[in-house]
Amino acid sequence: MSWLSEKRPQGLAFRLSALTLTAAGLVLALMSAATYFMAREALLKNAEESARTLAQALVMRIEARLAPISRVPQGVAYELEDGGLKGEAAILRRQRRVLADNEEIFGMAVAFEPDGTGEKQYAPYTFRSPLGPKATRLGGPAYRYHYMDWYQIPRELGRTTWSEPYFDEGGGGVLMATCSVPFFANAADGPLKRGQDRRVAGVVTADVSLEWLTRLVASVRVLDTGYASLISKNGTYLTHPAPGVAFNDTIFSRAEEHGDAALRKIGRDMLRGGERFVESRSLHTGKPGFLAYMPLPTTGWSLAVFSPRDELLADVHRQALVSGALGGGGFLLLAVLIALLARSITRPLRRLASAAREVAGGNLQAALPEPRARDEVSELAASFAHMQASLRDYIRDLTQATASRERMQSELRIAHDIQMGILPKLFPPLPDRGEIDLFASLTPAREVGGDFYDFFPVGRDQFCFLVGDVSGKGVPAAFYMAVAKTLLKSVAESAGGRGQRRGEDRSAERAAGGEALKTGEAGGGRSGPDPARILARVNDDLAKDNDSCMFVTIFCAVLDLNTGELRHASAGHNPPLMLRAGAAPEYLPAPGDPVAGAMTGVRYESGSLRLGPGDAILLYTDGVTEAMNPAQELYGEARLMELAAKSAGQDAKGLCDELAAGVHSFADGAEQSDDITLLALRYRGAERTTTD
Amino acid sequence: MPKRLAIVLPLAALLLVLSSICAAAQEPGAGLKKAALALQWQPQAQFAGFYVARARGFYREAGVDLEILPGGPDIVASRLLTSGRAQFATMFLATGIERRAEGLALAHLAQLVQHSALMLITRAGSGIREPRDLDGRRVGLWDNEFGLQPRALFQRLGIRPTIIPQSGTLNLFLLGGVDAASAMWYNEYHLLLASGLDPDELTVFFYRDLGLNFPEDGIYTLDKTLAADPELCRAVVAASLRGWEYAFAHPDEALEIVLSEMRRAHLPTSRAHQRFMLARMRDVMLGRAADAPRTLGRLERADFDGVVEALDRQGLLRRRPAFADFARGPLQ
Repeated sequence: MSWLSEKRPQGLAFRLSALTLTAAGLVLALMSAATYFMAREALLKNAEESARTLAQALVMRIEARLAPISRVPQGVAYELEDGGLKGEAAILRRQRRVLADNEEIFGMAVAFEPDGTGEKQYAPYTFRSPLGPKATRLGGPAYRYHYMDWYQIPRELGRTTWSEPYFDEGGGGVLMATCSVPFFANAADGPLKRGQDRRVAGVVTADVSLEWLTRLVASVRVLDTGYASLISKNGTYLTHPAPGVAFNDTIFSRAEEHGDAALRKIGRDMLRGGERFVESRSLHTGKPGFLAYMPLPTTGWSLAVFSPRDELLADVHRQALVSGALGGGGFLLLAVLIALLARSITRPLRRLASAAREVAGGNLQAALPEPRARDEVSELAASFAHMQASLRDYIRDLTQATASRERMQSELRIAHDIQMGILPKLFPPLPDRGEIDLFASLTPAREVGGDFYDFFPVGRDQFCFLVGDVSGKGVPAAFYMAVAKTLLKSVAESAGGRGQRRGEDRSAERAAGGEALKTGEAGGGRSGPDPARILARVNDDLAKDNDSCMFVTIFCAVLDLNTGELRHASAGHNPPLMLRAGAAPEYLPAPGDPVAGAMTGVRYESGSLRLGPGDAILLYTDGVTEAMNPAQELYGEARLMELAAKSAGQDAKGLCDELAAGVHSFADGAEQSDDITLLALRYRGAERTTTD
Repeated sequence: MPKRLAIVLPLAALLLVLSSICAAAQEPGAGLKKAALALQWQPQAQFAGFYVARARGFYREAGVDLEILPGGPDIVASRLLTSGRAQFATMFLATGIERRAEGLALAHLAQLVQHSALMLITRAGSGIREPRDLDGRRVGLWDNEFGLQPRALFQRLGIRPTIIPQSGTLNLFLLGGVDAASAMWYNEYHLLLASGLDPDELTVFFYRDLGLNFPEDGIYTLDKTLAADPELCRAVVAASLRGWEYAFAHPDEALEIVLSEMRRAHLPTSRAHQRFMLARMRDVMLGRAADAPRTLGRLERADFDGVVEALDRQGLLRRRPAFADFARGPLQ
């Protein structure tokens, strides 16, 4: 439950607010951007319209004055062609009238085509002088007008042309352009007739002051820094706001000087008579903007109007700024509101969290906050309350269960101690007799188990030892084991005792209905009790009233300490391993007798063998051979035999320890499933100093 | 349109007198020899070296107080020499040879423009792919020295174009009145580019590539001036060459000097145009990488002979001037 406190900086309130605010901010920004772009598009469209309109109005104003002017020399040309103007006096008179009637016309020439040699030049010219109209003649070796543009171009092209504008020094340095109109004559003399071959007879010119034109264009202001400019037919700037540009640079030389390829492209389109609205950067102000240009049809010049983009968009920017500020303010307000809302939602959650922390700390009585509203938080609180109650009950139950379990544990521990206590622990078992070396060990799988071993003398020179294994495990097996072991010892000892009192109780024995436990009829004084008979007695006692259907396997042997003769019987027990001195180990052949305690009236057979000095016998339970490793493999009799052969030289304790260690290492940490019992006995041979 | 000469000339004369009075009053003049150099045209980068040499004081360092007389449509440099108004003048080699042949005792002091900048320009779409295609087409030609190479070319090719006298502008060509126009590489060619024509829209023929390399601008004086003061002649030539070398090494500074000179003369000034002109002057004076190496200021005998031959064939020479009499410069 500590996640609530650890992740507090990014709690629900924070995440809720962040998510909502991000979404709201995004929507707001998108709306602002869309509004801005739409407004900008509309404004730019509008700007294009107004720039075009402005340029158009200018062009129309200029055309309205220039177009009529070009008709004046045209009229004179017609008259010359029709033969209406004959003689210098008539021409000069007409020139005076033209100057009087047309303010813009500074001078008028009627230049006749010179003869082939160019010597006969004739060009009456009237111009305004400070003292009134003045007549003169153009031409001469120093002024060969037929090689000059104002004459040559209309003559060669055969049509009206406007010259490139120029500053006329004689006219007081005012800006002028000359409108030249060729007039024609028949190849033969006489008035011009349609359809006949004609030749250029001369050129009528009108020098027109353009002061008004440049003033007009220069006075145009577009927004704050926008401007209009005019270029001539070969691209020369006629007006330009930048000082030193007009009449010095063409649009192309300016483009070259500034490395502006786009301007050169625009210039070429302007000279072609193009009419467009294009994005462009002003070389004059350095501002990006839009250029609207269109041609002046009469002269072939072109007018351009530049509108700076930032000034065009100033309104949009202002509007965007205002809407941005409003949007930002709204956003902040929203942020505060959402933060408050989120905190009010998460406050009961936080209170619940701190209560839950207290509960987790062990205080199951901690008070949970009372939910105010019926919502998810109140459901959570109810669930917590339920959990708290359940926890209380559970812990109470657990406490009781633990107490009873501990009691049982301690009882089992005591039972274990008792069980271990009834197993003999005295090694060597007969400290005053050196014939045998014996050691036994029992490792229970649980606190108490069903394995047991026992050894005790029976009579003077007889020594009984045995190993048993009760079916099942745990407490029932332990009880059964205790019964079986006690029974075995008492039966064996009683038989041994009788054997010592040779013949005395034979009648009594028979009277008791029991079978004689002794086998050795001859020399019975030296022979101990018969293990087969012991097992038969024990079996009958165990099988009687055996409701739990338990049973026990037993290997029981009686050794004559003087002779080394060993008699043995097995009730379904694992065959012991014989370790004869100097020979390979071998298992005693199993007689195949049944387990004890299952049914009454079973007969067991005794086997007999003789132990030489140094021979040993190893008894064990199936906990040894059926020990399993983690791979579920059985330890097996082969492994036992192999290890026993290796450890044969050791004494009984060493042998038992070695074998137990071998099984333990084989199990390799696998859980022990059965008790492991080992009993080793080595016969050292009869002692000389035996008392018998 | 027409120049109001009646008003302009007295005014100009007045200005000249005033300026010379001022100059005389200002300059100490002690030790400096007075001289005047007449240029064949108005101030522009074609004469950058002379203006730079004067502005940087190279003439003064050489002991000369040199006055530069700008030319113009109405000013003939050789006439200023004979009248004594100028001691030195620049002109085309062909002009110099013609004047010498006419009997003017002209001495050639230095050859500046080694490679002819004269060219013919046609529109790429005009169908004129080689000079032979000019036959029967309308060709704009300048007269005098500018007409020598074209006439020699037409004669050699045996073609007869219709010659249209070309004015001081290319407006007739721009308006389509002629099929081909004459141009100087460093001037009119760029004016066409500055009127919106792209280089790939033009086909050009250089006379220098057609076996008619007539060297152009050179410095001249009269025999008698050379005889009277060879030191002065050497000083003027050396300072002028130094001016040119300085101009090529410092084109921006040279451009400023030329532009201010043009503004003083109330001429239209386009920095881009003058920059182009100065760069081309370097090409025609020092030669491009592909050209045979020449010595700036030196007149090659072969060039001289070629021009004399062409002039003679067109019947423009009464007698052929001898190279040794003509080329008298310090680098010969």
